[in-house]
Amino acid sequence: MISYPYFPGCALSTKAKALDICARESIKALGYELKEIDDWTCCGAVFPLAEDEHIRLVSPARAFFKASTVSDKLVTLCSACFNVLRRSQKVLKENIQRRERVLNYMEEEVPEKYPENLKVIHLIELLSNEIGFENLSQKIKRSLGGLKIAPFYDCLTFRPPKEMEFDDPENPKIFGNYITALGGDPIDFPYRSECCGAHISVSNPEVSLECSMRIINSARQNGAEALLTSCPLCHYNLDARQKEMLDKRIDFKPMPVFYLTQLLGITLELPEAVLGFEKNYVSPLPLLKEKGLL
Amino acid sequence: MKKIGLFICHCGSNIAGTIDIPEVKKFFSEYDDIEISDDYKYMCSEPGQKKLRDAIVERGLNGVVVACCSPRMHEITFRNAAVSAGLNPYKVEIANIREQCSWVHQKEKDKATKKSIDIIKTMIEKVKRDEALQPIEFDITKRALVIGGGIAGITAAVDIANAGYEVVLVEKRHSIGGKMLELSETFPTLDCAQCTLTPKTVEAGRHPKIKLMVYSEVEEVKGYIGNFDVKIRRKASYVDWNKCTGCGLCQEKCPSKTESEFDHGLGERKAIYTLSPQAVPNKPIIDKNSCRFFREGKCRVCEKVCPVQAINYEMKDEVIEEKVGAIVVATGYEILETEKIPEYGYGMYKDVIDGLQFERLNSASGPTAGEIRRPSDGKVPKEVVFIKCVGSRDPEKGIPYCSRICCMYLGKHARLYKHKVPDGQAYLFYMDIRSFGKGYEEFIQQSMEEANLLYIRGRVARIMQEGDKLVVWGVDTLSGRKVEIKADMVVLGTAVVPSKGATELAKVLRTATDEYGFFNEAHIKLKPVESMTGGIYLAGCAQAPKDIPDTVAQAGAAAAKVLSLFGQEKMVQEPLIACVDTDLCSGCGVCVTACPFDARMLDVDEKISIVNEALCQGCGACVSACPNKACQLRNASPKTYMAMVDKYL
Repeated sequence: MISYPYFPGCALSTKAKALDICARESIKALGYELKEIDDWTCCGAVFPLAEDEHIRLVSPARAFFKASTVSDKLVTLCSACFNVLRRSQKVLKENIQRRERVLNYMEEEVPEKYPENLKVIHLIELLSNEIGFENLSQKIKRSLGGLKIAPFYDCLTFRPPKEMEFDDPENPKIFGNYITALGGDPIDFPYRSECCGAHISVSNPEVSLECSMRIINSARQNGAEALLTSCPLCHYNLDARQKEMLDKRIDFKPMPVFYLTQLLGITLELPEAVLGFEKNYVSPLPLLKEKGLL
Repeated sequence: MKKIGLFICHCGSNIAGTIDIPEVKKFFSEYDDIEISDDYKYMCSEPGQKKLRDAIVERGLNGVVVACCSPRMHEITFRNAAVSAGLNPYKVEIANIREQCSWVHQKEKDKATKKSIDIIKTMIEKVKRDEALQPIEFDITKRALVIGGGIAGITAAVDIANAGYEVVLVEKRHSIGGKMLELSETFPTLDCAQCTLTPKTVEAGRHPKIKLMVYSEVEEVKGYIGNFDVKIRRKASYVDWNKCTGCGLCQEKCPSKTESEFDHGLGERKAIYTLSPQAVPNKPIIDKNSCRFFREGKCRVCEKVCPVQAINYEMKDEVIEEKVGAIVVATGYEILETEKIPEYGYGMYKDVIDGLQFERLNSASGPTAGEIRRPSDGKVPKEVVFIKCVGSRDPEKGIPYCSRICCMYLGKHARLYKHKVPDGQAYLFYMDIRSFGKGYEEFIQQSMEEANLLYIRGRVARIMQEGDKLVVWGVDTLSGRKVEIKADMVVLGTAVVPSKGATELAKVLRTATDEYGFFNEAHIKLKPVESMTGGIYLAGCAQAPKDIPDTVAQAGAAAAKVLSLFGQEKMVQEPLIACVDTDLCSGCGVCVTACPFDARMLDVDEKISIVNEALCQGCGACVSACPNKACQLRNASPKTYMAMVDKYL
């Protein structure tokens, strides 16, 4: 069984547990293993933009060292972790001076040679490149039966494009292809990569609510029955805050928002306890029952 | 016995301010082989040149060294002065004591003086060994080739032909007129493009001195300025144009339809077709990709209906050879593939169109017969957004340069739209308005003030389809607000890029393009119509984006350059080129592969290498490659250079 070192991150250990557990169990069901690296620390949540801010690259560097002892890949899933780790690895690989400064902060854990070849990959890259979508559609036990799902493309996974080198942020396709592989019907909609409101939901929740409501409405107008996201923050804005949308707009109709891995879990017939739908504010259960998917 | 004259220039204070000229002059007055050592404030001035001429005559000089600025500046001045005094010009050399000495050693005057003496010493060694050479003369083929049949190519061709010289005008498509023929009206006068262009296309089509070769491409160019051998591929049209009368019956009856390239996908054409109603020549071709006979093996309707039996399905490409003395490159432009900017939804949303598509919508001969109707449902759009700088001035996603025409043509589009849809609203998003030409600023001001066009300073971030509307998200940077417009149609002012195949053509012509693929001019300010290769001239957008007035002006200038070449009786070339010591040459052929100008070849009978004197540029690649030291440059032999170096050390 091929095992991949795995960096779950804080959100997946708390709020977004469904994203995490489904990922581990689905990958296991596919015959691989996500092995959590031990003693990982918070990625920092925001990539440091200042040229002289070295200390915040230490946590990513620790993760890279740990992963590199067992593999040339490090899998992560949370959009923020993926963004920070992928960009940190690019900096540490290419900027030797900065790398040396960062390593100076570290005492015991520094390996002799920096793991330049280590690649930080998103779980969807594991599915598309390592396992392969075609292979994946052979391996699933149950198709999504043409369920109309609108893939929502978050910012952190795709941008900045030159650093992330992940799909095309202006014309993204990867989640749509994933839905197709699982037997669903991906719904393309104009707001597929608009801002969900992100952190502004803390300081100015009204503005953020408008953002997320537009996304949901646009998906519905284009025929979607549910949304898909891989980002815990997008999930919060798009799912949990539907409570406020319902309060605010009498005509608002709720729409379930799936985590990336929940869909995979359904097609692999994982038990409901693993799928963790009780964590979704808008329960997908009625929809799934109506479609005969549970 | 050598009698060499040395003339030291002060160049005002440029040289004299750093170098101790009396000291240098004194040093050389007693020097071997120096007949006269003199100085003057400005050697290049008429009195300075007179000093040189007089000394040649009075002292009987057989060599001259002028110690002054770079030979790029005044070598030719002093060589001409020597000729008028009866001395062979190749016995005059420049010792560069300005750029290579006084300018770079302004704070080290003693060292500079010493160095200038060393520089002069080396050049004296060179003059001592210089041979009297004669310029090389050869004949000129007084015919021109013009590549590209747009407004640039047509203008150049007609100008050259009107001066009485033959022109071969090659066009890739099967009729001439280029992009201008696709336009509806032109800025700043809003006159019909066809009305201004067709007299030109007709003139080019009928001119007795112009050989029109449409549906043809230049495949191979050999030779050099004054004498090019060109191979042109005339693609198979499957219609015998000698028989065809242009009656149009075949087009009417042809059962296969496909997207029209001329209408940029907005209209349809038949598989056998002429480009436009005003096509010159008015002869059709069969497009193999859409023809039912070529695809499925049956149909032959055109053959049946043709009253003069002009259809020939067996026709093959033909390669035609032409001899010309000069070439004008007028290959024009394309617009950036807007699919590269997916946030504007081009290709995804039917009602997002580019500038050339709008031209066709507005054209009386276009797919809507000139009515402004949007492509998706044929409705008349009431809110239209025009976006400038789509891909231009955007190094991140498109190209960094300004495309120069979009500010004006989008303003024109909006004006034309308002003429036809008076109750419609036009919005124009702009970064800056670049209305630099004659009458342009007035046009833009009038658009804003009288035509009620709404100019918004800012960029558009995204366009999204919502129902049958296009939601345009932008920003107004003057008020600092976000703008959201529910539009019926969006027109993109897409970046101008070189025409497809320009880089390949540049290789065929052995000339250079810039990093974007536009042909490089020899000098951006002083030689804007000459290419990097002698005898090849540039006109229109092949060189850089430009509007019609500038294109026509440049095409006229290119024609004038061709005519000044043809006005000479013989071509004259510098004799400072490679030569072969036939005793040393073993005929190994290394020089043939080393030569970048195809100037070297093997004489099979004599088993030695020879030099094509017209092609050789004197670069010296063969000299360094030759294992036997048989290749040498005239007046720059290794022996001469070793003597110069010895003197310096």
